[in-house]
Amino acid sequence: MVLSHFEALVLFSFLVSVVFGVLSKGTLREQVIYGAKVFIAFVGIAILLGWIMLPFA
Amino acid sequence: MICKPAQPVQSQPMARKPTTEEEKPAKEPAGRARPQPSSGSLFGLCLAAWLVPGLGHFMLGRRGRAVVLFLAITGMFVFGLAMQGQFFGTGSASYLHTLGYLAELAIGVPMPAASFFGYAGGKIFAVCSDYGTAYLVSAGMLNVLAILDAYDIALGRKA
Repeated sequence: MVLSHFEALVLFSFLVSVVFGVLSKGTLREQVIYGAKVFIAFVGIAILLGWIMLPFA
Repeated sequence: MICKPAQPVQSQPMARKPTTEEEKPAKEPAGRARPQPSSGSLFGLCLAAWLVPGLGHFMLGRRGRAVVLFLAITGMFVFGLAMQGQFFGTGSASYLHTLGYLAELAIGVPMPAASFFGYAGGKIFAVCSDYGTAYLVSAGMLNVLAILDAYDIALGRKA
């Protein structure tokens, strides 16, 4: 199985966000909202850091 | 300073569970505290939660959570295997490899099961091997979180 770095990042973020959401919150609605926030944070921060590091590549 | 008179207690049922420590004793009168599980049952719960991701929650009746945890954690482990992630061993002189071994061992049964079914420990020169190794280690760490969550639920620290 060969994934690009971004695909691996998105898949990893999704699975970790699901577990964090389920473990951290009580109701299904809270779990979904928290999981979505964590997922967006994972992917968004990774893109932001990549963009910041781009001039040094 | 003017103090308002105390508000009368509403007769309607509460819409949500009490969140503060002060509200809990009103529901549970003194002398009828929640029974604490024995250390043996807690050990069995944690052992089951370690061996199979989500089994601890399943034993506690949280079946929805158990299924989601099982699918997410085991799925991450399987993706790690599919990307030829590396299985660490204890024979290496590097303590980082030993830590990696412990992290992967935290996944429980799936790791020896993968070895039993012929997984040779990954190909370090495969394109996605490093990603796969990260997936394997992370799956074990997520299972540790699931074990601790089941432990907290069993002790009544968490709803």
